[in-house]
Amino acid sequence: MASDLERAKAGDSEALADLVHEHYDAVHRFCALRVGPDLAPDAAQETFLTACRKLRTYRGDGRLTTWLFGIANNHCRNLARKRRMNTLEWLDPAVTDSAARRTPSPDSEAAIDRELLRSALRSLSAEYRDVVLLKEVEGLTYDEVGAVLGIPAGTVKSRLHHAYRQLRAALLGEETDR
Amino acid sequence: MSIRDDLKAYVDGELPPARQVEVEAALAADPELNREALFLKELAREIRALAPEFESSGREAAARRVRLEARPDPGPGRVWLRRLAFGTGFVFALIGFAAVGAGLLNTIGNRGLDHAAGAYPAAEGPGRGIPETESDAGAAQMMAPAEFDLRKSADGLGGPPAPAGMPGDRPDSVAPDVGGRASGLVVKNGEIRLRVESARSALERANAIATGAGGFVQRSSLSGMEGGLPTATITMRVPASRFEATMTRLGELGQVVSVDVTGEDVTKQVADIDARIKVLRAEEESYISMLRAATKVGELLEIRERLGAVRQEVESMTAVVKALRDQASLSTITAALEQRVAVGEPQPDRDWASRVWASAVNGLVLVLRGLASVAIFVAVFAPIWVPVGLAVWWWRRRRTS
Repeated sequence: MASDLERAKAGDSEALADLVHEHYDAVHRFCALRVGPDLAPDAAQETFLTACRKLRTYRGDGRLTTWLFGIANNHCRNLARKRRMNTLEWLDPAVTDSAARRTPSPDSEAAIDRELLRSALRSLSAEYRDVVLLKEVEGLTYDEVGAVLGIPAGTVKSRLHHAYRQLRAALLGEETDR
Repeated sequence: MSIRDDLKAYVDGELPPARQVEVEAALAADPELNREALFLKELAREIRALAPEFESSGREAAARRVRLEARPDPGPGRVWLRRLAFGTGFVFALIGFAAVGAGLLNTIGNRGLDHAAGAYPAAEGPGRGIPETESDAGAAQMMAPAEFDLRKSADGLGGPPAPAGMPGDRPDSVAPDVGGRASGLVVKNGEIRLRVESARSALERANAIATGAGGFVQRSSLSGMEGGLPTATITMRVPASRFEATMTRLGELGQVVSVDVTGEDVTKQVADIDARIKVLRAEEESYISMLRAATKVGELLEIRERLGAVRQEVESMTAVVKALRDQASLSTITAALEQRVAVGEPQPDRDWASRVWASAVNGLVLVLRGLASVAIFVAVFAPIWVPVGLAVWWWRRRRTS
């Protein structure tokens, strides 16, 4: 893998294409969650073009996927801003119902109302929602979330804490200071 | 920090071991806290479950485009080198501009300083060595100090270059024969302005130069010893044959700021007067002969009266010729010696505070005037920028809506 990366850094077009094949699914899903499935291929393609151009700046001190997510996050944010689009389509009931779901945990389904949870996630600020999605949906560590968003891990921890307090309050009908 | 603040990080396994032990102990002791931790875990699971799976598409297109278009940018090393090269070029360009600007300012500054002082005649070629006419002699040409070679220029006024330490002395006040032209009498005047380390010692040395050249000091003064930088002025008369050498030696006293040399050819004037004197003397001889031959008292008185008038005129003209020869034989040099400010010794100035105050107030007035000018321009150009601004505002508003 290291040698493939080195070849890609040297400009080997086949190595660059292999890199796309290896990480495309993760990046595409990341983009689809942020700009929707229609724009996701374009966003993913732009992400890989940028990544391949800037590959020499990747120092290898983190997972390559995390580095790609950082680029994809910027592209998706710019795209959403240009299109002035609703970036939370998948949280809308119609979209979620029609999309293929993961199998939910049997005990949690009974405990948490999903409609309420969708609503609570939509009501979170973008800062909080980003860290929640990167942590829970992408399964990144705090350090990796910080690397994607360009913030320290301590800030990630703090934002997650406050985001979950707000979600809990929304789900259980508690009062909370935002 | 309370245990609850770290509960989410504990659930995510992001706490350091010591803190993790503390949280676990708290969880074991507090069933409510335990329930909260379980809720956080369930909530995370539910969020993961909410995220839909999307069918991946566009992989091949992305790989194809990357294969065709993507070329990694130069590495950080090369970027660094490029930036270094660009930065170096930029710095050199700045230095170049600064040097050109400083040169211009220096030239303008010196011209400003010396605008009233005249300048050293640019003596180039044999024909320009001696002013041809009075108007030529009076004409002065400016020359920047940086371009000025005192020894060369002084020699250019008349005669061959003088070697250093061997001033270009000439046997008499008569200007040399230049280009086969008849030699003449030239009245030379020189003014030199210098910046020196010490005005007092430079004045003493200038005195010595004057006497050493066989001349004398006509006037000297030293001023500004209290409250300002000392300035000395010395006017000396030196033999015309030592004029150039004296100017050169004076120039060695410090940094030459400006030099002004004028030369007036009085040869023709002297020759005219000499001719008239010759005629008058002949007339005088004639009257003397007539006086000897006269027999009547009336004739005697008339001839003596005319003889007296002729003699008076001859005396007057002889005095003029003598004065001109004297001026030509002794040149006048005036040297202004300004003491420069030494490094680490601020110029003594008792009135600096009021000057700084005035300068600051004037600066403020200038700034306010500049702002007012900008405001006036903005207002006057309103017919141009207001419609553009409104159009942009309308367009942005339309896009937003």
